Amino acid sequence: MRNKIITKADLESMSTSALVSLADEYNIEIPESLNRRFIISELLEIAEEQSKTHQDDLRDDASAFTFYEDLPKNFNETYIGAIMRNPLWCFAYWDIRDSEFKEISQNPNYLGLTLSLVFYKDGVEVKKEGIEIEVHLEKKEQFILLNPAYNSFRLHLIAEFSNTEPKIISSTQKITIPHIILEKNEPGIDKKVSPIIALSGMHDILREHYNNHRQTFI
Amino acid sequence: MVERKNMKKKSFALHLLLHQGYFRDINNSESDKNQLLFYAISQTYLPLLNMFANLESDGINFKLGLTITPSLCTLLTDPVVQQSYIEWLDKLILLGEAEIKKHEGNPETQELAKEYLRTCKRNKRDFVETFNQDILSKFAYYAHKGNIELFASAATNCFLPHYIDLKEAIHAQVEAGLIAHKSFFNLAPEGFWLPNLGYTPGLEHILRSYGLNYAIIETHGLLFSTPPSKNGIFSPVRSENSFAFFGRDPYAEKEIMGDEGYIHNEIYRNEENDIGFESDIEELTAILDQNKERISTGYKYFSKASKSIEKKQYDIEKARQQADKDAQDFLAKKIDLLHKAAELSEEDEVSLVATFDASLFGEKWFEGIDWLERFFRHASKQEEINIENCSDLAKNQFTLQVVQPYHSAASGFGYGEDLVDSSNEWMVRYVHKSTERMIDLAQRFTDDTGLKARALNLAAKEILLAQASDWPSMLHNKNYPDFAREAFSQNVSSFATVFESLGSNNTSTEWLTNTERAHQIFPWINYRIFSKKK
Repeated sequence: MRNKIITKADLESMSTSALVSLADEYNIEIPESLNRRFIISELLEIAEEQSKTHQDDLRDDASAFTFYEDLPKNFNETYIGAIMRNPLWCFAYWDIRDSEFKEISQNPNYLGLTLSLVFYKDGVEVKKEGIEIEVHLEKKEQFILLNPAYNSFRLHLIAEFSNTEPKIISSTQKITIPHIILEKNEPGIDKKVSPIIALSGMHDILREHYNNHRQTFI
Repeated sequence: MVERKNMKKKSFALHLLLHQGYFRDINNSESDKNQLLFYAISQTYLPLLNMFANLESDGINFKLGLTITPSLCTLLTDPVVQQSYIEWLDKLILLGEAEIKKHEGNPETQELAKEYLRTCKRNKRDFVETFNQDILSKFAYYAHKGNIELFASAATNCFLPHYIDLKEAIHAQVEAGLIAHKSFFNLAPEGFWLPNLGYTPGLEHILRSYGLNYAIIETHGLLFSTPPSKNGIFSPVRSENSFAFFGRDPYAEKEIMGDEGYIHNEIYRNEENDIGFESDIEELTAILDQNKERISTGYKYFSKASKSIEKKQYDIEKARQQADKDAQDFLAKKIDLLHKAAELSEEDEVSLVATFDASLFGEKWFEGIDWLERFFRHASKQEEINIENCSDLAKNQFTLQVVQPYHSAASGFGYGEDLVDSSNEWMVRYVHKSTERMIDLAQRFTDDTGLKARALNLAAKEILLAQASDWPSMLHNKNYPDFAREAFSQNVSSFATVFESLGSNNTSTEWLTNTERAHQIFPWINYRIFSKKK
């Protein structure tokens, strides 16, 4: 770990227990009352100090240098991310660091992983509309249809246990849903539009949307 | 053409995209990936410049918008690529001479072979002597003269909506694209070409922060705007920060390429029937690479009628006459559409912007450049509509209707869906995680120099290349998918190598040098383009 670049994104994606064990590796004493934000800032400070005390430049040492000939198998990180495939479908992807998964899955009460989808309207979380999606470890990506009634969403990767509260392993940032409910972009081919909008090709576009997106924009 | 009475100003603008991904196979000059570029130079770029020269010498004040992407500019200015192109032309000249001999008993085919050989020789003369291997300078000449308006674009044809939650990545793409534009053309662009016309709300703030003024979006991006645009595609609109948007003409591409489009006329040349695919392999040894993978040569003797009936000899003269008719027809359709719009509009002027992939003209449609030249010639003889550039149409930018355009794109089903599907979804995590790491590195190493800065610059370059939408698009279209997979993997693994080397504090200058040599794009790169903007 000491030979790796530690970034803020890496640290934020780590579970609290993984942060505590990393802090331990760096000989940072963590009082029980300290929160994860404090641990992250302490770790970043030390990592920065260490990078300053490193010699100024890289050593040109081919014998100690390793390079990837192909794609790395994974990023050795716990993370979840998502991008919008179209105005209402997102593509989510995630992974769990091997050591972290081992720790979670060895818990006798471990039930499995879920994705929790949380919606926001005008910046406020709307809990009742959230959904839980069961995921399997071998599958690390999924297309998800979002609810057009909301402005944004966040995905949490969650470990479920039989005897304790679910544990959030990693979360996306809040992502804007670009879809806006407007009568004109709902599917349908008989919408009345002004003559100049019709001349702009609106009817063809609505027809194409009906053919291609009616399940989505319904 | 019938004169009409509506006195409102009516304008039409044409914009072409000249793009090729960064496919550079320096170890094999005969690689078919290199030949994609060579074919484009011969069939589209040089003929475009010749068309400009013809119009200029006849005093026709044409106007045309162009985007020449940074990756294409880099390839066109690469001495290794330039030399390979000349060698490729030499092979085509040898092939042409053999073809003339081969068809001695068939004067019609022999005449076509002679015509193609003359074109190859002229291309070589133009490229080497007239343009001194620097065709970008000639495009810049017409831009400085005001005939063409050059848009800037993202560094590597990156589909920007996928990075809207990683704004530093969009800044890096835009910033590197603008630096490249300035280095190739010495011009400050006002227009920005959104790769795949990919737009999502928020992009306008980043583009405006670099002094850019407008972009073209897909038709439904404008028609689905909030509030609705009053004038449809017939007026540009602006966002709240006064960045202007033009909605793309939805008809123009269909008029040329649709089921009933001009391109399908049986008089035109059949682009699939090429001796590179039809002749015995022994006759093609001059141009085939060691793997003997067949390629398009440009020696094509049959018309499109050959698809349905017995092979029919291609007749250049008849095809030119048809191109003239089709150019007139296209112009008449645009005049008619703008007249109808003027009658319906409450605005004092109406305009229309059509965009095309330049490969349509020449590469996919042999007569396309001829058609384009004739379009400009006919347009210069009429006064019903003006042929303008977007810069002319955006002059009253601050009086345009304020709207929020809709998330949209010109690929997939209107939103870029082809760039994230079952063929290429595996790329997303690699490029996004690597991009996040690059942003962190730029924050962490703010003042570094020497080998560390060199490694970071290489990392930044590899990330920009990995973000190119060319790779997922090629996988989706099954267009050299193995090559796309390999190129993308190389970009990501090179980044991962630098990332690891910064952690271990060890590198290999030999590896750095070799990787830099393989990817000679953006020699001025500064990894700090990925740092957070204040």
